[in-house]
Amino acid sequence: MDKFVQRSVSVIREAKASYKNIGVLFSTGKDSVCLLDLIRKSFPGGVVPFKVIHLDTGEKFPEIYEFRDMIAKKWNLDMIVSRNEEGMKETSPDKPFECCMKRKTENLKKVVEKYKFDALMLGIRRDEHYIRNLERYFSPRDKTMQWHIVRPKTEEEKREGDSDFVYQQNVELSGWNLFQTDFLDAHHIRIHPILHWTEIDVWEYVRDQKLPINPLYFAKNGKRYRSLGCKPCTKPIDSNASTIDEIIEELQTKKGEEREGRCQDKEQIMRKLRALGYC
Amino acid sequence: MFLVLGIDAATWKVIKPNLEVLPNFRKLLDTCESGTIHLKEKPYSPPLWCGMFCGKGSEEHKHREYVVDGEVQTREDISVEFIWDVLDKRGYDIRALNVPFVVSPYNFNVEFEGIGFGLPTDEKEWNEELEKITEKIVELLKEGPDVLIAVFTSLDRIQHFHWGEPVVVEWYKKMDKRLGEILFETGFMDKEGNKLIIISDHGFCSFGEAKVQTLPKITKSGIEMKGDHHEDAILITKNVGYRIKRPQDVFNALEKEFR
Repeated sequence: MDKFVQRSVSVIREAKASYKNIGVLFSTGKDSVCLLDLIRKSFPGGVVPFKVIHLDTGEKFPEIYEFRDMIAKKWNLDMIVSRNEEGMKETSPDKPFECCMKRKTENLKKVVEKYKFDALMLGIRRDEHYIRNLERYFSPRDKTMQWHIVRPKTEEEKREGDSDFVYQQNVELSGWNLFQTDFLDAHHIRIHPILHWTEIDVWEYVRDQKLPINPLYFAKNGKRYRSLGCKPCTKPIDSNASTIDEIIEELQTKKGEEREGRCQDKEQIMRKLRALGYC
Repeated sequence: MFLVLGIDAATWKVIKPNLEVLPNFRKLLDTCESGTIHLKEKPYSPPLWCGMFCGKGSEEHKHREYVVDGEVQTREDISVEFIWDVLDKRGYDIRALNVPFVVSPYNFNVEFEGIGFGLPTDEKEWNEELEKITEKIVELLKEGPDVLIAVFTSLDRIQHFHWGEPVVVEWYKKMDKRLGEILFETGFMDKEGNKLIIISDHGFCSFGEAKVQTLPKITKSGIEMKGDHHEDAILITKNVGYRIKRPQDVFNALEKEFR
């Protein structure tokens, strides 16, 4: 097994040993398919011993729903399909921020509360978006679901020539598979087993393991989806890659960000806010 | 007409020692009432602009940050009525332009796209904001609404990045010129009965002097912060009967005026 797969399996097993009630987020995208497959490979019998959560915004592509149901059946998943019905009535995709907030964020909060999850496992990667560079394999969230990796030092703590910030989370010794899993005052923990993977790693794994994959990723009439979100906010990219090998070849030469097809305003606002330090 | 002009982060610390090169501020100080609002709460922009136009403190409106739980906050996340909601229901023509309690800034009955999503961060965007907002205000003043609220945000970022440098005064001079175009060249100040509030959400001071740290000393994009927010905000008023002592009183002044 490749070292980078070994690390993912270690994280998954460490998580299983550390937390009582883990939920796995499953968007049906390529990353979450790899994550589920890695979980299956981490435990005897090839089962996923966690509840699998699909946040249904009501605005996904029909192919996403079909693929979700097919995988749930094929891999015998204990799946929760969660919809924030109230929030869906109040919002429309014309207002993407409000729509996302109600149909994804609030929806997730409700699932976490309802099922009392103490940890959530996600298929995010560092190379996916630069703001994820700071993420850790095990990452605490407070009761408002926020992550505070640093806090400003108090006047008493400040020393001349030293940083003005206190890092709230220890460095992870991931090369030795040593992770901090206990966090005081954490509401729940986010676990990111494929944090170190690249987009090409994901596609190579999908190819080598012959994993089922959403057909939207493959080009039709010169367009394909590189990242899957909700239908109104996700646009296809120009591409003729209709096989996994062609996708890998395209990624090796193509410029542009993986999430370039996603709603640009929201991405740009978040980027700007983060660049300035507002969040 | 009642005009409320917000200037994010405007401070007497820069204006008063430089009145010689800020002729429109000088004219305003000569002809209007002016004072300082000493904030009782921490000088963070989102709750202050929010409170100013909903009349409630942050304990009540509960809006404290631009981003909560990784999601950009919007008007819909704040469960309060703003002055534009109240006066609109009462049948008044009220417009709001670029009010930065959320990102992108909020507009009411105005079509406008905040420059740099309301976070102008370089010289080009700062100039563009000053120009576009001024143009829009002048256009709206011609339409003659009962109330116009408009906010400039550039000075905040300029002072964060350049506090203590001569360039800050240069940007106040540009702001001063725009005030001249809006208030004097349009004839707004000459028209009897027109009412005016010019207000900042907070003042400014050097990074080390500030009691709050609103942004990290070095941002993720590598920009060093030289200044941060101070509790003393500016206030200039003309023909406003209500005594404004705190940001929420702007709501009260407007609400009382249009009962």
